[in-house]
Amino acid sequence: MNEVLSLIAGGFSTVFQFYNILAMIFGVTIGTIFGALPGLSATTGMALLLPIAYNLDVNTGLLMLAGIYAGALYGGSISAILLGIPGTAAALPTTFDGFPMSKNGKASQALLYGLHGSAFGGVASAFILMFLTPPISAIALKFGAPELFALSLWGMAVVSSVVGDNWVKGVFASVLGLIVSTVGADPVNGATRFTFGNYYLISGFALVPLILGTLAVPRVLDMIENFNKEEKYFKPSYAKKFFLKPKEILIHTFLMIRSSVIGAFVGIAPAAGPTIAAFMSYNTAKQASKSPQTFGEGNPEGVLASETANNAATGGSLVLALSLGIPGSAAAAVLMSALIMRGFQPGPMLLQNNPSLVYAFFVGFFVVNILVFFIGHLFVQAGPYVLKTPEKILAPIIMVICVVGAYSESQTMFSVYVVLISSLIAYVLTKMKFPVSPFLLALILGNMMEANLWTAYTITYGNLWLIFKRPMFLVILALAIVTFCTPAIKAVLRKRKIKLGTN
Amino acid sequence: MRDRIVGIICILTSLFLLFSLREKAFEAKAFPTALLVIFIILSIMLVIDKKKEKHEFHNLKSVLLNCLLFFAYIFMMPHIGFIISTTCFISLFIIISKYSMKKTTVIIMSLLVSMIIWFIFSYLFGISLPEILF
Repeated sequence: MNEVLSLIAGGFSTVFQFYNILAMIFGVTIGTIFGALPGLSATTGMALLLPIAYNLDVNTGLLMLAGIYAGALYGGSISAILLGIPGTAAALPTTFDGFPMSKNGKASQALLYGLHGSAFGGVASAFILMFLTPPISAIALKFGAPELFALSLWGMAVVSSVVGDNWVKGVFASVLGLIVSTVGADPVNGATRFTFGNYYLISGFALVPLILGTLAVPRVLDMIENFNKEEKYFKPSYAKKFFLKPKEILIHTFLMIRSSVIGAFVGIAPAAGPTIAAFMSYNTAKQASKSPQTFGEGNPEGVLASETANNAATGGSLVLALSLGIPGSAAAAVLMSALIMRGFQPGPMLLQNNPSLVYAFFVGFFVVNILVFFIGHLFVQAGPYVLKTPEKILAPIIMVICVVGAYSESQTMFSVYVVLISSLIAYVLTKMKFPVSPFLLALILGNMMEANLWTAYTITYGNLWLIFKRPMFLVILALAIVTFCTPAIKAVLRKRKIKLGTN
Repeated sequence: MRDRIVGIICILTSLFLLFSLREKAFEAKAFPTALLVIFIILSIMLVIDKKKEKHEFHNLKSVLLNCLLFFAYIFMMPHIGFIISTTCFISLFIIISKYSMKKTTVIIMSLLVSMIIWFIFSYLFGISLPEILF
């Protein structure tokens, strides 16, 4: 332990050099902008600044990339709250409560809650990196294909609480999402399905154009419906809010700690970690809340739960990248490539051979999240001005940004056509009360579910019963079943209570 | 009624997709086939559901008009370049929705907006947008 503490002290002395602080401030600012623009992500930002990072000192470059990473995850919440368009997929559950809050004229409050959640989750993940790297990497090694399959089932179980009033339509939307996720090459042989000769579809539908198509454009069409009406789409807010009072945030301490734990655990899952973590934490917050019916109508707890978890999840994914050499996400892969370019091999030996470098990065990740907190306050003040733009000017600009975001994702017009078609379908279906979030959740989890099911099938030689002998699989499966059944059991109990009350 | 139409369209599409899977390997078709069967069952439930829900479309005329404009914008973009098509789209959108502003101001503003977006994405971020004339 003493050794770790002296390494951390050394890390602080590296991080607090003038150029390093400057690089981190630059990284966080750029990262937040990248995160807030739909279609651009932490990965794009990091990849773009990789050449600059290469020319800087190793530590300075890594800290800048860490700043972009943390800033982008926070930035996702800004557009999610203001316009209901998640800047990154992980900010999807933030829209559930953040957007209603900003429609009711509480935009700066929602942004502040998002900022506090992000910063808390980020600091939590820095602590995980500093003190829990060995146990987390030990758990991560137990995560094989069966466990990841169980994790995707756990994620799907969350659907039971986001389906809305009509469960047939909710399940319908989630199955549709799973079907859309199977388009393209199959995970075993690479045989193409549902592509009909279109070679853009071989790798399947990309997530970004579908998020923009199903959430962003229908929202703009919603705004258009509201044109020339007395009632404003965004209620104006007159109260300026610069900071949250300590009391307003301290009453949610337990919620933030719980969300961080969920984030740290689920963040181990490659690729979809932060997104699943955000959904699960949102779901848990809703179930644990005393007034679950206010969720979805602008409850700040929803914003906090989702933002804390998706930032806490970065800890898990960075542990995986640095101590095991497995890139859990595209952003982590860019970070690894920055290390490899300078001659450091990420993996189990990195921590032994270059402890001062790794701990400087861990400490830097902590400082970066503190910086997110301070720089974020500037964005919080600037954000609500977006809503002051007249809707008739804002609406076409959002549409243009959606088109550019989709285009930049693959640099082809095909993604833009996907936005166009999916937005028309989504607009009609949302008008008919089909929920969108189960569709997107299933779309994110579909590939993970299918690919890991087949890998589990292959490693057990077709005898799938063998996976039930893995303790970790059983634990996650049990969690999935509990999550799935809780809303139903609660509903039955409530009905019985009402019955007893009337008799 | 509209739920029924959606249900029937989904059943027909799923049957067609099931048909397209018939010659694939077992690993390729097992997962989608199972999903499609569940999907067909759900669609049948939608068709026979008797609950009536109100679906309200407001201001349908201007929504359709703007959708058409969006269509035109996307299809014209590869042919006339990003800046021109975006300027036309934003200014037409604002003029159609009858926002009280001088037409020259609208056009200058949309030109500025599209040039700023082009500058940020194409010049700073290195994402080449479709461009012909500029």
